[in-house]
Amino acid sequence: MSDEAARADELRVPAAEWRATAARLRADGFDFLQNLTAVDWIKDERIELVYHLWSYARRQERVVRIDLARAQPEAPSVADVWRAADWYEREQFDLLGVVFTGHPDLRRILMPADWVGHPMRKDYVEAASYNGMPTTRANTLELLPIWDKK
Amino acid sequence: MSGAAKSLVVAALAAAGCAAAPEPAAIRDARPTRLERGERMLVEASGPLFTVGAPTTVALDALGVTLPARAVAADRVVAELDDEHRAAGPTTVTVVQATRRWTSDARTPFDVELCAPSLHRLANGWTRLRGPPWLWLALALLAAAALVAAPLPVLAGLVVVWERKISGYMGSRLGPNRVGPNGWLQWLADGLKLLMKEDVIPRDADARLFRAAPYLAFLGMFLTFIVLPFSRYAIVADLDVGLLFLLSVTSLVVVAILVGGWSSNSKWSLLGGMRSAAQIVSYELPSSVALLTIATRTGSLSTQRIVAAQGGWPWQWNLFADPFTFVAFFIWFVSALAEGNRTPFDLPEAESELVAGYNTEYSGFRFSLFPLVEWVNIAVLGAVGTLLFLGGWRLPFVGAALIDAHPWLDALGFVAFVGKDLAIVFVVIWIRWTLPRFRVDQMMALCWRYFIPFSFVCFVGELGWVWLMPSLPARIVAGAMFAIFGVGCGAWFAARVRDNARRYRDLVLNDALGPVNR
Amino acid sequence: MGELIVANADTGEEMTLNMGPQHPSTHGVIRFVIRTDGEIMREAVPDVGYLHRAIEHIAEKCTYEGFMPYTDRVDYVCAMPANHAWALAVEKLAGLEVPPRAEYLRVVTDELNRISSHCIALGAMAMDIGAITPFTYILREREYVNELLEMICGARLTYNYHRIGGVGWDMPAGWRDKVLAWCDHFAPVMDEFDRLITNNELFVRRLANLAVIRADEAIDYGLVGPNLRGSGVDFDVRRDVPYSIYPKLRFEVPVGRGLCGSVGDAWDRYWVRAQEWRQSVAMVRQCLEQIDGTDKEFWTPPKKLKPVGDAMARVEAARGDMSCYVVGDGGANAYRARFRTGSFNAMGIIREKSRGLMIADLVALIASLDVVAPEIDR
Repeated sequence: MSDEAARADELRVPAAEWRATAARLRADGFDFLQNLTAVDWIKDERIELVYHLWSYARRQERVVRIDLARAQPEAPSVADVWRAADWYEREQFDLLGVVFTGHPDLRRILMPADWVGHPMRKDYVEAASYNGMPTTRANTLELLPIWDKK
Repeated sequence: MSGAAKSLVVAALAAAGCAAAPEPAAIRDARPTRLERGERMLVEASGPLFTVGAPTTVALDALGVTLPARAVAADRVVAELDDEHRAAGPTTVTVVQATRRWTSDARTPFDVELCAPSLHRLANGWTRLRGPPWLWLALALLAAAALVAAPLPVLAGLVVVWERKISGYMGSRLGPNRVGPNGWLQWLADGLKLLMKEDVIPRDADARLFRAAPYLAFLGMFLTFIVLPFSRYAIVADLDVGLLFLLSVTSLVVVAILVGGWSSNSKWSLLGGMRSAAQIVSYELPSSVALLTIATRTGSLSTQRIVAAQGGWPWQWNLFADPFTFVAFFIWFVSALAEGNRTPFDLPEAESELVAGYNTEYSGFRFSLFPLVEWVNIAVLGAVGTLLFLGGWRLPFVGAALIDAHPWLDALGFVAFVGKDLAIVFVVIWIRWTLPRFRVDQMMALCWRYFIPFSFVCFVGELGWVWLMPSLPARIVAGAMFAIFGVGCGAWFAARVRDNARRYRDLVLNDALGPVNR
Repeated sequence: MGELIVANADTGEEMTLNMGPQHPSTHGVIRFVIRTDGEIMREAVPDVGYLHRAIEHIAEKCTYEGFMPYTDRVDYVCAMPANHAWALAVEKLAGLEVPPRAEYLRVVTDELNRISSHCIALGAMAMDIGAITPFTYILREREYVNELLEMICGARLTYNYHRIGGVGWDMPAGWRDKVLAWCDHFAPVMDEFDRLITNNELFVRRLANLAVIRADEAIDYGLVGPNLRGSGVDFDVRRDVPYSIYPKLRFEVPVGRGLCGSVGDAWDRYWVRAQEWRQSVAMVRQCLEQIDGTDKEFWTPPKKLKPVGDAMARVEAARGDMSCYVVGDGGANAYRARFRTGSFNAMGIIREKSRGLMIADLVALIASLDVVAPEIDR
């Protein structure tokens, strides 16, 4: 939404204050943590967490943004405020490496448990092999013998 | 043959009265009496006339035969045919005890036939053949086993194909239709394929038990065919304890399932095996008690006697005989479904939950045996239901006397039996493809909290009915049961089928969308 | 998963079972590690990620327009709303207008897809409970929908029909009549299904009072769609955060009322889907009536799509509120695309609700939440 009114509703919160703000928002009626996205702004050396909250009672949305240092992205977990945050935070940890302190069970959710690296980071380079299986292979077309006839 | 067991109930009363003038006897039933050597005849009086223990003889006057007898109660005498007599015809029967004699009414003679030994007797007469008895015994057993076992895989295969075609048509698709005429040789293709598959035994499985389990199940199923009366003559052995034998032998299947599940050394198999064992053992109880209800009514556990006690017409079946047998039928039917692991009781093989339950680790021929046993079990279930409740091989107009006179009519009885059997099998298959399945605790609750009490009520009720209910009101009740449940429900069912056919006639037409090629 | 299993090693009566990833009834490639005491489960821990195809990652490598086919695969059982979510998000981001005819076509195809997705959901649920035949009936009906959608966009499952700025093709001649004929044909099927399954004694017994999710729990765990409405929360994105031309349509939102047990049990979630069918059919009819009054134009392709900023779009997919959050930085590709799907949240509640259930109930629970693996893993 590019409306000014909606923009006015957005909150920018430092990581240290997030838990208090979350509790306040929850008490205010924002009971649905609709979405949690981590965006890797590599040029700005930051990772931005975008929380979309929704209040069923008031039919209202609220956006919260938190900036984290890209070198060591840590944010407090709100899994006890919104239970939905449990799996959201695990996913963002898995894909972007954001560590949510206080999370009851922070481990990878989509990638295999022994994966190295966080794939959605902009500077992610896939390892050459995973458990002995090469992660790249030659383009099949280039392997076809017809190309040799040129 | 041996349509009659060792003790026949003679369908007429012997005369009662004082030594001077014989009194007329009351005829209760006019069935003929066939006796072979070694068989017994029961003569009943209308009152306490005889002295128990006194030397007695029974004379068949018109045939000129005298049989040794003994009085077993004040109004009953049992006579045994101990010689190779051949004679037939109406005769009066005279019971002689010391100086007293009673003769049955000449106006309503007994129809007695003393006949040659039957095939069954011949087969059992191997002891009289020359040569070592054990050899003849072994040969006889092998021949009998082969005769009974050979059709079993074919039977199972045919039931499988029929089930797949029914499930196909019920799901608006065709079943197997490639192999053989319209798909009817599919079982052959599947059987051959399974025979050729590699036999995989998990490394940590208990190999001996693992290998033995399917054969144990097959044995349990195979043995039941011994007592099934396919027709008046076509029964392997008319055991006195036929029903008891059936119940005990089918329990081998439980053992086999448990053994198979446990020896596979797989958690899923174990779970499936245990579930199945719990289910089958639980449902043995209401099933047996429901069978007892029928045994009570007939007064015998012998399968042929039970069939003989029914008539050919539907209102003469045990199903409509009285309310207790009617309820017993449904209790028995549902329990039999549970014992056969059929939906809605197919938790042990619930594909969507346990992959294949106790079957999971089996492959190849051994794998094929378990489903084979299951499908033969359905056919046996139908056979047991037929003989107990639906009159077995009996047909209207074709009585036992007619069959004895024209033995080829026995084939009609066979067809009747198989037809009724297949009708029950059809209902079983139909239920499988319609209903969802029970959960374990619901299934157990149904058995222990509802079926067992109800089945005992039926049993006790039947006891009371048979003991207290005089014959005329009983027949009226039977007729009423048939009218309400047989005719009435049948008509209602037919009306529903007609309504459904009309309402959903165009449900599968593709014309709504026009030709597919756009 | 290592530490989880070691800590809960088989002690005495307890068994650790593995259900999946290949399993006939886990609605896709999902794995559950079940700790069970005989038939009763202590806990079922889901292990997802077997179908992770890095769709969000791919979004950063594709242009906005070119990414549309990938959105089909976010939930291939109900692909149209995923298309719609992406189109809506990018159009909000770039401030694009969509011609009214395209809006109607989007809604018609969305609703048809919702019906076919519910066909799978309800049919698979019946099959998991043990009744296999209704599934075949339902698939037969779903075939018609597949054919209808194939007529309009060329594909039966992964449609790639919506475009940034409209839809890919207009209705072919005669399509409208075919859809209306199908709607007439489908009405008795829904009734038959109700008679066969919805009110079937056995079915109700299996599902009533199973895994009751209270309204506050549902909201807390982030359940959406029929799962949320089954727990008694009256919320539907189409009505409450309306998009496209939904404000012009009249429809009801079925909410679970505990008709056969408690509010929020498995049967209620099932029942909500069984009612949504009918509403979708009504919506399709209304759209096809109203579409006559629109202009012929169905797509205004955007020129130079290089937006800056971020936008969030929510659509009501078959499995609930699917939200698409897209961030643009002025390039031809999206900088970040995020799909938050209903099945992902539904998986989060399974561990909690599985305690004390039987294994057969776990299957019923998964089926009642209507999870599909592609939505969870993307």
